[in-house]
Amino acid sequence: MDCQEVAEILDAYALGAAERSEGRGLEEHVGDCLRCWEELNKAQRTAALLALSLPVADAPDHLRERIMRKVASQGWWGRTIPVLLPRLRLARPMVASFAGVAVLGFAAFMQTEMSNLRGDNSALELKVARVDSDLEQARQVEAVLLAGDSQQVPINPASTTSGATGAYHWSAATGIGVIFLTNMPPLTWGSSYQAWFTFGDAAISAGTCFTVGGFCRFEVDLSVMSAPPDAVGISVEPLGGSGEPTGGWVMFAAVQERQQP
Amino acid sequence: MKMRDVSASEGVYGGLDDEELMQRLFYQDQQAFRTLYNRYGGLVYSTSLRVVRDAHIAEDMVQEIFLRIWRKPESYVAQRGRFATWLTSVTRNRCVDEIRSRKRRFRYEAPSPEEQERDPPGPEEDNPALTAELSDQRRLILAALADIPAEQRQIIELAYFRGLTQQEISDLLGQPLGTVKTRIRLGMQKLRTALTPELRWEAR
Repeated sequence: MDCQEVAEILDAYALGAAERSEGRGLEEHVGDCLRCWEELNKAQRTAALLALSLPVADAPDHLRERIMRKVASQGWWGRTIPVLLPRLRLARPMVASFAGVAVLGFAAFMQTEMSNLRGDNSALELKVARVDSDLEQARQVEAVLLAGDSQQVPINPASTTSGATGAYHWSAATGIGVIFLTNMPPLTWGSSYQAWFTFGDAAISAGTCFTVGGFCRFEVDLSVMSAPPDAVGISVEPLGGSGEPTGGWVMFAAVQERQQP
Repeated sequence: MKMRDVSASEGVYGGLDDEELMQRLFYQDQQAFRTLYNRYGGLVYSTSLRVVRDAHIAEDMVQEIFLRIWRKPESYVAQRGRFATWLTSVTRNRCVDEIRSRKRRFRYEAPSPEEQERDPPGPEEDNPALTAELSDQRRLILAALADIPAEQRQIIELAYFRGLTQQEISDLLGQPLGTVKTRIRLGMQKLRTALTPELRWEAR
């Protein structure tokens, strides 16, 4: 089939009215011809618009209830994790670099603050101790990122309009996991972000965070988990945290543990 | 672990666009699904009813299509066009498959051309639940359809909404196959030209 022959049947094909043999010839041709492929694409989009010309009637109420009941009976997990995994694999290198820069920047900031504080009067000693503690945490985070068995998954926001990004890094060798969140939307007074690890239908808390400049960090002692989690999720909870997630996930990632050699 | 979205309310979800609602289905957000259904249940039902011409089969089609969306939200790719266009296209294709399958199993009674003419779309039937954007789009498509000759429009609608092949249309209308082919080609070319701005939007 040549371009002229294709031009004669592509509209019928787009409407689903071409005979089967004609359709096969067209499909073979457009596989190699960009111009005809584009024309077919336009014809298909034109055909797709036709359905929008119909007057719209209300669907029966009992149908809505039937569908909603079916949906409510579906399990929570089931298909979410396989759907997310390919995306996670694609985003890993970017998240690793982001997390590396974030941690090193944080460590440098802490070092500077430490220098400024040393030599100050005794009233600042408490602050020095706190910064020391933060610096130690930053070193732990660095250790996780630099560990030979370090693994990570990006944590994606539930809303496409959210600019939030996140990542969960962990290392069995150090026994530490770290969750980073950036560009998190400000919270209303009295609420905080809470991180969770899920295991089937159960969830354990990985701590709470009231963001500073949209940034949150959670350190996790992996020894509290007897098995790798299925997923990590972030929800909004009352300040101080909840016993179980009460809000929907605002950020979420399936966790797939890579087997260590 | 009972998951509940404390921010869930019609007001909040009603303000989300289709892509945002679809994104929330990855998190099995039932409120997002309900909002999508409220927005498009009527459109899917009307499209199904137009193609299968049987209320019970149409209901089964609507259920199947929405449950497919719930189970596989990744089947919609926003870069390929608007959600409403994708949804009606999926609906039409599934319904045509259904009537073709029934045609193989039973004797399918195709509507007469006169019957076809009895239910032309009319702007006065606009459902108030339609979004303003969808209503505007519908008006443009209706205007484009009104601008092509009735013979071409009839054949295009028989192909698209009845799932008939050119040969079947030729048999049904008693017109030569060549005439049917030419009318489809000319009618679609005119529609393409008239709907060019819409097509650019769809291909954004």
